[in-house]
Amino acid sequence: MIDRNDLHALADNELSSEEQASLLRELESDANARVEYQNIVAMKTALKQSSTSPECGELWNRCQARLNELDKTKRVESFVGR
Amino acid sequence: MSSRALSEPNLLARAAGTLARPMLFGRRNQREAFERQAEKVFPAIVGTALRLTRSREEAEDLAMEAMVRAYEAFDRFDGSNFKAWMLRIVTNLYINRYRQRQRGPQLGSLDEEGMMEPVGLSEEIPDRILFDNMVGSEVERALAQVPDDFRTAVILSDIEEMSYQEIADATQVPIGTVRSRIARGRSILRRLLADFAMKEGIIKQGASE
Repeated sequence: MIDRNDLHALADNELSSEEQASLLRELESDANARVEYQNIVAMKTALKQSSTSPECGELWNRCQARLNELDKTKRVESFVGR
Repeated sequence: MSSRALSEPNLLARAAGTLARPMLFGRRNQREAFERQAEKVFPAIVGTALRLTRSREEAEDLAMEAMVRAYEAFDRFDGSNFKAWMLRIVTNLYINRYRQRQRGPQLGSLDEEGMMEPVGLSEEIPDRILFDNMVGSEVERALAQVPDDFRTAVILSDIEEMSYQEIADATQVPIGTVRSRIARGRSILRRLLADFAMKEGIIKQGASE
């Protein structure tokens, strides 16, 4: 029986070329595993496609302001000689 | 040289001129270099923080803290993969800051190593049909219900496209655990989506391609 984790690793391109070739040979004679593999790939695709980037312009501005404060503190410290 | 030129205030001013200015410019260059890279990956950082914490407020705190940590450690960044480096920082922070608050075992963590499911024996709901009828928000809602460890692995793998080794580094677990968490996480997600799809009448049990 094919290890389910190996099918996921195959879909993630995480197997060595030897492991990949061996698993693909096994898949040729295992219809259930082929369906399972296709399902894993479909799941990965759905996840990637469903993920949208959040709006974060305002947060980026706040981060920059925070980094400005950090820089200012470092400048003061370097002048004071701490 | 006049005595005025050697007076203490002047010496201090000259020292400041020769030492502080390069330091200032060095830091400015570092800031610019950091921001150039950080701005590109910032949406991914915020998105990951949102998916991990499932709270806008906590995600913003987490993303901001990750940015500050990354900036302070930027001189130690090896220059290879900035996005993976930032994702490692945000994941580490999440694990340390948020998950330690939780008490008791994680749902699904107890059987992490003994969770193998035989291939092809789960309910045969073709995922292509299932996912074709799902919209992004439904997938995201289901993902939010996946237990922490598994969700983190799936997010980093399938949304952020990190390698198993990068995920192992970010979550501080062995690579074998990453493999099993990804497999288990996808399996849980698939079940959640199938339940949803059946409840909504998108698919019927036993549907085939």
